[in-house]
Amino acid sequence: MQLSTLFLGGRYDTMTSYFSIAFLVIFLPVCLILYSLLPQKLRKYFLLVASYGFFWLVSGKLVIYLLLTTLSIHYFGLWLDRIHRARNEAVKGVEKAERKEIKKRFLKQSRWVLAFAIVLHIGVLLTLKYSPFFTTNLNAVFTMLKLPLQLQVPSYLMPIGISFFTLQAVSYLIDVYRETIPADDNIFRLGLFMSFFPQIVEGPICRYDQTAQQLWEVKGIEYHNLSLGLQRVAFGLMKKLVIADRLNPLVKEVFANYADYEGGVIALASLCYTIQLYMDFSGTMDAVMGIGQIFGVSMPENFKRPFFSKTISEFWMRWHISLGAWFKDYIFYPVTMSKPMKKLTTAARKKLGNHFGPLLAGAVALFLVWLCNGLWHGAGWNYIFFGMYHFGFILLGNIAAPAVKWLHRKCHINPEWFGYRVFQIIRTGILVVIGEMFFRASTLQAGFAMLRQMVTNFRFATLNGDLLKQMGVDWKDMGIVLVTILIIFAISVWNEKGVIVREALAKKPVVVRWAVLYALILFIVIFGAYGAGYIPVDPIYANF
Amino acid sequence: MKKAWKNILTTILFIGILIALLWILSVIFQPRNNTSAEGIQDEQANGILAEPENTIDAVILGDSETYCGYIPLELWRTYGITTYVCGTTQQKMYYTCDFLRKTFETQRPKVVFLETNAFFRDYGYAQIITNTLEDKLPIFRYHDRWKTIQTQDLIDDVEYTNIERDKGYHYYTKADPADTNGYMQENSGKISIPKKNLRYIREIQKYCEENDARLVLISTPSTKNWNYKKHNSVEELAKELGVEYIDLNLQSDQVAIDWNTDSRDKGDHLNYNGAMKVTDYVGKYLKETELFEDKRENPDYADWNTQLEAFDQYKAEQQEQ
Repeated sequence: MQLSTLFLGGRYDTMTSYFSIAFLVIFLPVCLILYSLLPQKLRKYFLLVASYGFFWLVSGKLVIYLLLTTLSIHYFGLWLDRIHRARNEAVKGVEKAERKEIKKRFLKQSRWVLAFAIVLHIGVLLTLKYSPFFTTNLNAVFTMLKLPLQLQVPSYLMPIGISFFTLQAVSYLIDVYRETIPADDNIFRLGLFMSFFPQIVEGPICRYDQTAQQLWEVKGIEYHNLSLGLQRVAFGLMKKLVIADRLNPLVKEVFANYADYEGGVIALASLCYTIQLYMDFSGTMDAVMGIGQIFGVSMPENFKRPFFSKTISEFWMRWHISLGAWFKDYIFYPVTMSKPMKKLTTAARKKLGNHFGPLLAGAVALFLVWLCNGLWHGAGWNYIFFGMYHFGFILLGNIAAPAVKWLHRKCHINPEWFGYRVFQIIRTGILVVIGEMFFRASTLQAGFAMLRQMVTNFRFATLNGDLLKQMGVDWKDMGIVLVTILIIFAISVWNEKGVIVREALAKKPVVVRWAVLYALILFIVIFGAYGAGYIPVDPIYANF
Repeated sequence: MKKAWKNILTTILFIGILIALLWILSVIFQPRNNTSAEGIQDEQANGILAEPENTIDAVILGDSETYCGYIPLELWRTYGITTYVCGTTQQKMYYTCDFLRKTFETQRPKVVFLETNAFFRDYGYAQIITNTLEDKLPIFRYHDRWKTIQTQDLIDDVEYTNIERDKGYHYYTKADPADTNGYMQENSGKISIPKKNLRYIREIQKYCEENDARLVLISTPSTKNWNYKKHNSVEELAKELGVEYIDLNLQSDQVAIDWNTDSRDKGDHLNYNGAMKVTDYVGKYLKETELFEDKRENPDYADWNTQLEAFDQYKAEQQEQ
């Protein structure tokens, strides 16, 4: 009998969510107990086995992708390391001019190795995730050109989290190539870095120097970490169960049948989707961070209160931070710092000045970043549009910066004035909601049709109890969602002021502390959208 | 070490208080009546909770095959025997076991029919844990009552008064012919029954023995869900348990299902026509047991006649439409 059948009744996907009963009540407690019982030196190996076990329970035999990726980067990493060592040997005692030549030769070698490794890993991702999209579009072009040629659209099973662990693998290789980290000769440590089960489904996309050594040096579970970690998991559970899952029927209905709804309702559904996406993803991240903390592992935060952003650019520095940072470090900077781009910047600076000159090369890099960002989220024109939409606003923000400053001066607007900041936050929020609408829309055409409805028919005339019922919710659902959002908003304001609520709470008397925790748990138990009548919503980002 | 013990005791105390709070909430959130408006799930099957004590002669447990295949009011009309169908969609064996336990709390059925389709339905331990949690702390099952709960609920006792007219049966007349190609072709193979289900079946048998009820395994005709391999497995199990097994899929001489007219959904479930044939067989079987007296003239069971009239009227209205 397969272990997955024993636990999950043969349904591999049952445990995809860190909030599933299978994970929270069976897998995690069993892991914690066994982990605690094991001697210190075996704990890291146990985490590795548990991580592969988790992956196998979710993706079955597709675990081979993770294994091969790990073996491959281990090999390529050591190869790069050998080239670096050979170079160091070769330049010893050599004249400066010759040293430069030798270095250049070795650099070329390591560049080839890196390029080959990246093509291999990104190639697998492209094949699995994007080949159906590219083939479909190619067939459409053939049809348009009236060519008697149609390619068969491939279909592949994808392992969970491939978009996340591939980026993690590539970042490891580039960091070794750049010599910011040494290649890891310990396959088990590298394996644990790649597979750590709390982060394998939805990230964060960690760098080797952020987590590998921490994971390899894990210690026993400490009461303080256990307590704070579980609190964070509970907070994530509240976001997911009370808000994200409760809004799901409304979002699903309106996005599926947008033609039946007036613009105001579509706008409301788009807002609800943005909230749902944030609560789902950041709630999952809370669970991931919380579980990490239980094991004493600190991972990079993926969210920093994005809805307090005053510009789109700032929004993306606060939303899915690890992905943004990955694109910045491995696409944006290498492109802008490349020789052709440097030349372009120098030339443009002469003609366009110091503000607009560097923007040209920056725009090229930014375009690539947002094209990749859109495609990373999915193979579809709506995702590409989503990327271009943000590229457009960020570029516009950069171009218009001097003009905006001038306007502030002329109109005597203090950009730090509270009212103006609120205006900026709301403006950014509206742009984000529209972007997310395209992101969620079934097709790009559907996204435009929804936008048209929003612009030409922005009314709430039909919005009443009956309409909400048709959308699978009622006023009470909306009311409890609003209350929970206000709670999260209050906590976010504290966080924004630098207060870490869990740690502040830990300093309070036990009666206050426990009262707050009981209130949180009972709030989730009562108001969570789970059980009969609710369909558990798959974690949204796990599909990307 | 002292700190570790302190932490353990603190954790136990925290969990203890949490369980107490959840228990208090469970009492508050427990539906006050067995209606869906009050928050009860599977209203029709749970109608048995409102039946007067010790008035049900036989119960039929299982998934949708039961509430499509057996008509308690027809058994009443012909034989004066009181039966109830505790059938729910996609019923899992742990839920079947729960229904029987609930039934025995207020009823003393002499025969328990256990439909066999659910024997082969697998599920994970996560589902069992969820169900157990919901049983022990009903707040997890009825938490959604926060929308309707009133202060009166803090005072009122739980009192089940909603008697279901059709006694768990779901009336449906439309026919959608079935493809009978390969249906019940003899085969010596077997399909294994999940071990979890075997455990529940044995538990059900134990309950029946403790309550002096005869357990009968029964397979309802279904071209989609039933086959010879399943038959073989259940037959073997019945022998092992020492209980009777009736496979109506192999009783075409006595239950002559016409698959062109007697199925509601291409052989998945029976419609009213098919259910009448199955019910007729079950009626004869129950009569032959000589365990039951005809209660049609018994004034204590007058409600059953009223409900039969209402059922007939409903059928007439449906046929007119």
